[in-house]
Amino acid sequence: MNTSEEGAPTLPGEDSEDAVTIKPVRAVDPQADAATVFWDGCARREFWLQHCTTCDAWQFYPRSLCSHCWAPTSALEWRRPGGGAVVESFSVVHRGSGAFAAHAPYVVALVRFDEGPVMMSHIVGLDIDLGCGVGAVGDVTGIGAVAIGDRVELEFAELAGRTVPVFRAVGTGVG
Amino acid sequence: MRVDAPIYVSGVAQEIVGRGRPAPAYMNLLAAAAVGAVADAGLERSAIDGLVLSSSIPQPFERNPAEVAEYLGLGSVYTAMAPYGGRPATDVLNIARSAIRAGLATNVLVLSADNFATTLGLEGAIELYMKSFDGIYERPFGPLIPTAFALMAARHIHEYGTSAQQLAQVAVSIRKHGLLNPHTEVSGELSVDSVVNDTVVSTPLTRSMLALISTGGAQGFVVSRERIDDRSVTLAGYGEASAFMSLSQAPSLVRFDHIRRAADLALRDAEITLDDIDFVEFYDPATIVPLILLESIGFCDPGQGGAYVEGGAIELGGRLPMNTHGGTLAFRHPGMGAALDSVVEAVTQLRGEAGPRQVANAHRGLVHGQGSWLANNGFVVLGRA
Repeated sequence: MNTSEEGAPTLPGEDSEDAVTIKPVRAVDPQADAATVFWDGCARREFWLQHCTTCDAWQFYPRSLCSHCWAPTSALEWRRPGGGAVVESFSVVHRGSGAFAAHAPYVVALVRFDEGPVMMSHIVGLDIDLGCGVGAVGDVTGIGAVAIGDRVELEFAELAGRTVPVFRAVGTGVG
Repeated sequence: MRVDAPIYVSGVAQEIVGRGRPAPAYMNLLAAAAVGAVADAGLERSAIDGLVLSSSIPQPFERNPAEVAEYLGLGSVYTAMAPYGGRPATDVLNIARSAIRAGLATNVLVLSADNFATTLGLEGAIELYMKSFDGIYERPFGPLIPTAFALMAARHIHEYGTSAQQLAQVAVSIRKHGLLNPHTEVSGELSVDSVVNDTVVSTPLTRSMLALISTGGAQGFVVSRERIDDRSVTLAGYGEASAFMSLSQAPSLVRFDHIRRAADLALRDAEITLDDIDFVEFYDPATIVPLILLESIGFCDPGQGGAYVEGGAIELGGRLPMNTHGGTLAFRHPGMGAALDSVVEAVTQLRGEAGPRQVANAHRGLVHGQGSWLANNGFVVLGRA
């Protein structure tokens, strides 16, 4: 289950396959690379965001300080957001390049977590009509069962050789 | 000299490669641009006492500027470089101007070249461009470069009701200009329908709404303390600002305060207002970008960019001719120097040497350079000397 590499710091739940035991908050290790901690969590299908105890803001991507108030690492903590988000924008990529060619078409999106931060991800589970042009697609800001402004929920998927956080339109999930 | 003393662009050169043809080696391109720019300025090589090099797209860079000065046999000169990708590219002109005002040089050669789409091939070039995205948090999701602009376009449609037809109109108008450029890499007129119904790359953008990928090219300039002759053009203003790099960190996908800041700084530097601008040369990697620029700079209200371009307003004879050389949509996209092609065009216009694509009474032009999906923007105001 644990696919972390290169001596990543121990996270809660790391040696357990039961997500129920994962603690909700963890201090940010001042020695660790935040990106490694983030992706090691994703490899275990755990999504951790940083929260600042000084200014009460969340931040993505993780850093060694709070980008909002410059509080130091010691003021930051890892938390698991609720997983709910809203679609800020998205685009159906019709022709992927390199490792992504096999995945096309896929939906790249910017989603805003209910906690505030925005991240790039994919929206999954859509029935994409490729059509032959914008005219064939019709309403270009709404495709399949998702549109800008819609609510989506976090889950994980395997993409181009790694486990990544993705989002599924609420109501279109398979559970 | 006074910090606000006028500085001039006295010479320009543009190395043409041609659609799909292999570009010369990197140093060959730089040398040709150097010789061309100095000859165009009417100067001897001995008059050059500075060299500013714009990086090629491959990072960190191919050669450092002292190596290039040595290759050209320039002797004792001031050298500097803008060495990273995701820059506005227009910044090298300001670096040259600053060096002259600081007393470090009097005639500065500014050079840019790229040939990576020749050496890497088209697929390799696309892969290289994709490395512009943040490697840790964005590249794992496979965005194409067009995807960055597609995300802006979709949001613009959502917030303002901009139509696919309006996005297409930008390509149609700029194609008309490109077809007047004897060095264009495209052929044939476009129509709104042909653009809208072209192959979708990354919704809502079709192939015809996106920049070309050219095999290479180069640009050279001489920036001078003195007005050399009546072909000299005033480098009247410069402004630059960045606000983010990763798309997830952009405060908005459709409203960019830092673009306004950069443009306002350039206009203030030149002591003019938007009403004084006779034409614009905007970096146009996707047709949503000129709309956002028109709105962000203040040529029209937020959300009105689509309506602005309807009816030919950005065409020759319209109220604000845009990308009179065809831009990256309808001339070429050689790499880092795309915005410097725009500077060459602006100088050509202000000299009155643009032939069939000449803007009538062109006294002042605004040139925009952009790095990484509007993350970093640099505006140059050029004027008749």
